[in-house]
Amino acid sequence: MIGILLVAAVLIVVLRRNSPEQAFALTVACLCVVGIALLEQTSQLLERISAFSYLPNGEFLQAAVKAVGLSILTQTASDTCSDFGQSALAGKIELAGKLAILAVAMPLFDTLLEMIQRMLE
Amino acid sequence: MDVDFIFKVAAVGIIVAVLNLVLTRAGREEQAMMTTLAGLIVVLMMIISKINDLFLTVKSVFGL
Repeated sequence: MIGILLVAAVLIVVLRRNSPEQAFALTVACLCVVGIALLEQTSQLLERISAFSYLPNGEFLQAAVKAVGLSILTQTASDTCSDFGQSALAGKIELAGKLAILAVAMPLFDTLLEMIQRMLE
Repeated sequence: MDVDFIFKVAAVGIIVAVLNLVLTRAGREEQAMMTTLAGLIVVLMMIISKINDLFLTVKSVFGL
């Protein structure tokens, strides 16, 4: 894995001097290939983790796992964009990722507020 | 871990870069520009399916 990525990095540097857009395309290609390879390995890990969801607040675990997935995607995309000088786009991608994670985490806030109200009564 | 995909994209990129250089040396800037665009389109078409696979994998792994 590491060897392949180092070779790909060298190729990207070679390409960047003559045709930057090809270097960008090659970067995206490497990201996709490595992302797919890594995620396939982590799926077994996630099954083991979600096996713990028999605990009382199991559904919050699903929200956490979704937030992790969203953050991985957002981080990859924003780093790629900032790598090639598009820091404005990277900021917007980060904003979109945050909003998505907020949307996923909304049920947690509801139950939290209910708990607080119950305690206050 | 399909490594040959990375090297395929790199090969197309390098060929397009060399072609571009040769054409600019030969004085045909506009054809060089067209070759670069054509090469970029070929590479992007290859990459789009791979990006789709990445998103599907993420969706299935994290249950999004």
